[in-house]
Amino acid sequence: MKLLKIIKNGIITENPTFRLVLGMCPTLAVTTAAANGIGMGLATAFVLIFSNLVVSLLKDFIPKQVRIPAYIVIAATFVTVVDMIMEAYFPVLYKSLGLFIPLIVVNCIILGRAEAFASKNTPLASVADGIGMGIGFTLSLTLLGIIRELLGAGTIFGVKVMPQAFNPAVIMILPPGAFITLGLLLGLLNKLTAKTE
Amino acid sequence: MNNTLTVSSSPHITSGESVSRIMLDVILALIPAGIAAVIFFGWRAALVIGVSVLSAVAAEAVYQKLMKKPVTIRDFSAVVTGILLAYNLPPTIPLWIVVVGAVIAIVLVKQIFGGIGHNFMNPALAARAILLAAWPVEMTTWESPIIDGVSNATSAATSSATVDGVSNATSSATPLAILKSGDGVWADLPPLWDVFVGRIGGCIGEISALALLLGAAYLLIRRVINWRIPITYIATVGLLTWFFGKDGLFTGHGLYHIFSGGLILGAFFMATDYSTSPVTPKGQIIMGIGCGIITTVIRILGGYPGGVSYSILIMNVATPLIERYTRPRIYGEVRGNV
Amino acid sequence: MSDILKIGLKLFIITAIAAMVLGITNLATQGPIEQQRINTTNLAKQTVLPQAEEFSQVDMVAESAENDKAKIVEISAGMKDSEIVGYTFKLIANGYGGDLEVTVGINMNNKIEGVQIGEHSETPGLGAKIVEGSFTEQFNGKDIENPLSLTKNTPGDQEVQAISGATVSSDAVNNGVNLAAQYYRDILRNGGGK
Repeated sequence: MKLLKIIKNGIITENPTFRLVLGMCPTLAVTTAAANGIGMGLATAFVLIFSNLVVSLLKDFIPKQVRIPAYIVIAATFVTVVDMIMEAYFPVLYKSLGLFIPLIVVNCIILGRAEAFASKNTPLASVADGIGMGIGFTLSLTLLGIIRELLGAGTIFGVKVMPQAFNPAVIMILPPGAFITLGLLLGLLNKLTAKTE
Repeated sequence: MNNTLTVSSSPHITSGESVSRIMLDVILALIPAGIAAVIFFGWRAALVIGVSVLSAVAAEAVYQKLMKKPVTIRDFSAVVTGILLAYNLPPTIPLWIVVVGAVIAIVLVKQIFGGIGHNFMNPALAARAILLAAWPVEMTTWESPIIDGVSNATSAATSSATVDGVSNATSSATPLAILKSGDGVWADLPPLWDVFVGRIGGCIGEISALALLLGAAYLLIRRVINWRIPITYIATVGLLTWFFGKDGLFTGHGLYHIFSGGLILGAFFMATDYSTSPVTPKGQIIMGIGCGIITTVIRILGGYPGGVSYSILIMNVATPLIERYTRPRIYGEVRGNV
Repeated sequence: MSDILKIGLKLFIITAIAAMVLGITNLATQGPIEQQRINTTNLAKQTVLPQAEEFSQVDMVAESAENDKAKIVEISAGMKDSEIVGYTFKLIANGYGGDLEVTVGINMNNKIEGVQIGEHSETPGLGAKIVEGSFTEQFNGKDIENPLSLTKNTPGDQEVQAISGATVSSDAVNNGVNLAAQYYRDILRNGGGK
């Protein structure tokens, strides 16, 4: 029960994108298409789950004074593993995410969760936190990707869904489109939750 | 909310001015350019202006209704935004893009930030910038004016403008695109008089410098705007483009640069927007010169032929900073205490 | 002092384990990654010259392989039953957003067999449309005796319709194709460069 609550916390209550506003660089940069959003989200989730697990396991071993370098080494190891596996087996995705995979290392979510959660909780809870945060991040990125791809290219996951007459707004898949979409979504969510709270 | 209280920035002239009074003056000043547009582009231009104004006003009313705010369409500011947006669009623009642009201007740029007086960018210009990035082909398809005497402008169209994002698919190149494309410039340019009167390709409201100047003179006389931003802006562009000509120093076409593109429209009607330009005299001069420098840089070095809208937007964003550093010292205040 | 040593040692252990994990992953993925890279280049060659079964790289005559708009980086001869059925050219052209990778296939009947766009940084929604078949397929079957030119209207015999609003990008591809055609005319057809 407690684990489910931790997972739900990551997806909704403390959603990394819309609540904590962490990891903005990949959020803004790769969400030009829904598939990129999912790919980036899952890659981050993978790194997050394992780095949370390892950090939690090693929390008594890692000296306090050098915990940040230790966390970074752990995260960087998993990121490089993901990077190599992706290049070997998912070349198309690897090509479109490119530069942003190595940048997962410095994604604030990874360090943030290691410092704020994994270093203070049991391994099991830390994995649950990683799963929750990972799903939350993946869902947010996919949502952004769907909206931007739909308006900017008229497709969702590469499938044409808009009528022929629809003239895609190129700006949506350019950087400004990312800021506009994210801003409006954040505003909308705040408005909605303000009502319920 | 009382309409008369919504303008917060100076000049605070105690003359019973109100937002609607100022906006009416601006609308009046914009009419000559509208007439010129209809003369040179036909009724299609009037249609675009009409659609733009109607959608802007409707967007404001609907948004304010939905958000349960007082509806302020009677202050005419949405009308002005609608007109300015239309003036920044090519006459061949599909009407649905006009509607989208008006909604962006009113909802996204103006209302979301708190409505009139709270927008940090000129709504019409920001909308134009977004439209330009969203539908670059439609936004840069120029049409020659329908009046005679355009042989120069149209013959130039065949030879020019291969800048990416600038297509001349249908017909005419704007003077700026010709200036940009480089070779054989003098021969291709339409006569300066045509450029001044407005017998050239371009956006609906920007083509006729003559009509715009008439309106600007009215605004200056009515003291709705002052000379600082427009004059320093235009002078900076004129001097710099003349100075940094293509064939070396002092060979540029300064006058062409002044009268073509959106410079006159932007300098008098958009850079002077109260809520997005500095209130201090010194700040206004900095704003004008800054706009001029950025415009020139974009026109000479940038990827787009015209840079007025971007330069004004950039200086809009810099306005709070400019005001902070040009704020006059309060009498007796110790120096160095910014 | 001993504190620092202890901390250093712990950090060392962590990094050593990390290095080991990475080494193992590298060993496991090295082969597939190499294979992927070969596949990508071969795939491009295969699409522009489908009838070839094998490709073997051809030496280039440097001074003919470059003009101010494009540059040939690799030429391969496409073979079938140990006969040359055509050539593929990998070129870099100057696009609007920077370098633009074009692969061109020319068959022994002096016709363009196919054109494919590789990596590029053209504007999405505008210049990026050059990768679409509706643009690249226009080159298929064109004669290589004369240079091709771009048009904004319905294309004629030796013409290709430019993408509306993306003249520079379209032109870059066309320049690449023309350079490949010229190299083929001037050198390969006369038995040079083998």
